[in-house]
Amino acid sequence: MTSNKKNECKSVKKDLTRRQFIKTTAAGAAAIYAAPSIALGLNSSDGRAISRVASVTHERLFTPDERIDTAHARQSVDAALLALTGKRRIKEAWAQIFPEINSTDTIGLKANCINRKCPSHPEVVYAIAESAIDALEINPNNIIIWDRSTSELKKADYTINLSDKGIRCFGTVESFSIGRWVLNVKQSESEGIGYDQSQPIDIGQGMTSHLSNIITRMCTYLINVPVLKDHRLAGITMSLKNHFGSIDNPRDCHGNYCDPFVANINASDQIRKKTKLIVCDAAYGVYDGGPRGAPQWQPKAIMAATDPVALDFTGMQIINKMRKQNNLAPVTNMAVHVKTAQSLGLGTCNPKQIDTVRPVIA
Amino acid sequence: MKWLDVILSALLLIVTVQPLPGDQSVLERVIPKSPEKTGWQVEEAPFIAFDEETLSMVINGAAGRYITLGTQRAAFVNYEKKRVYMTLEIYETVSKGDSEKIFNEFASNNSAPVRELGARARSTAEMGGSYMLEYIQERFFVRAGISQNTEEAKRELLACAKEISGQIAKVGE
Repeated sequence: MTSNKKNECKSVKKDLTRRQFIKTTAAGAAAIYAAPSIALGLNSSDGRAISRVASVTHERLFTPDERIDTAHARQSVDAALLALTGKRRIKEAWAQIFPEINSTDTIGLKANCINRKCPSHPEVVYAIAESAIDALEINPNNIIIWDRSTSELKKADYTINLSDKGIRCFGTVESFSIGRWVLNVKQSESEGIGYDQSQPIDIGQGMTSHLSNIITRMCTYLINVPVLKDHRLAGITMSLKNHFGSIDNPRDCHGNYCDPFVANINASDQIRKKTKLIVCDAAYGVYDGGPRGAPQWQPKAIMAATDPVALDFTGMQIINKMRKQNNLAPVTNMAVHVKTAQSLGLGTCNPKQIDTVRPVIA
Repeated sequence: MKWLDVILSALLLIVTVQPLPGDQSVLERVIPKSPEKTGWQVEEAPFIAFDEETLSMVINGAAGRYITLGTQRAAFVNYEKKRVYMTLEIYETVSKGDSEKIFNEFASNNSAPVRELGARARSTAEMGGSYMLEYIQERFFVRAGISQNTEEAKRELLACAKEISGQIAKVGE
């Protein structure tokens, strides 16, 4: 390690120790990017790379009182990963997704809790975390469930854990305050981990953003856990747009259907290289009026992919189908960011290059 | 960090006190006082949006539609009590007709009419276990939601909605 790097690490540690709950890892250098198709070794008959999207429907995903059944959530997650990787054992599936993981690595699970009524549900996110812990035999404390704010995680029924035991769970900031937003005060100045001012990313149109320190300084790998929702401005909000919750200035990025901002954020090295898996919580869905509002239907599904563009494209077809059934126009023309993401090499939205598998658990 | 909070509070106070477009004091008077007396904690100072930009900070892409339908200002307050969450949205429009337009625009098939609240009111037991009351009264459209649909939660929400209704009656036209 160079002396500069040593000093950087020292200063980070000091900064984070002051907040009393940080356990850092040497995250930045360890991640190795592999294209989704390479990671899964999939190719079409003519040799083109194929992105697989697995969508598992579980008929008994809900309890009678419409809560998500914890055991069935785990069953769905495992089934989705087996279908995604084509493996027979869950240990092998996780090993294929994380071939180089070691005991010092930290995996961050980026939830989406902006809409308390339809978030990435704790039952699903913990099912992913526990499946990973069992299969990869990693220390639970090396898993961080996170979103932009601790207050939003709490509202979505997550139990905050800042300790050095068990799965950790906290936000980048304590509370994403509207008051601060109005005054244009940086959100990173509220209590919490904050945003990494040392690595500005160019998001287009002359603007820069800063990623959460959770991504840049605390996690070696990321698992993106979005929700199946439409979005009045961006057409859909799934895995790509979930990273608006990873930056310090989402407010500035909603013009022009959120394009090219969504794609550029996802193209940043830190997100692109560290993201190894996307697991979409499609237990519930919102097809009209999102991202706000209560869920409008129950797809009872868990979707998994290593290609965020393919997963979002597949989710968009599901949303469009529901919209058609309810006499609403498709959102495809608004979801410009999906195509832009493809043009940046983040994945494919060409249906011929997407292999969708749809197991059903009765 | 304490200093920052002091500065922020002062700045927020300045923003609140400064005359922003339109008269916010009407909405401020309509915000209920009783929740805090019954153990609800305000999560953050009430936020009053006064144009599309400030409205979009809270309700995202829906802001344009509310403005088109006649919204001038809107107040937002969030409360928490023992991990139950109550949210209030009070939209002040130009005319009675506007508030009715919003009420009709966001109607749901799953709603049931509610009597003795505003001019027209409805309740919705939402998928996922939350419960919502919406009503119109004079130039105001009110949406009150709670994260549980137990009878106690419904009673608390109705009491809060009724208090807002009483305040609207006081501020009048």
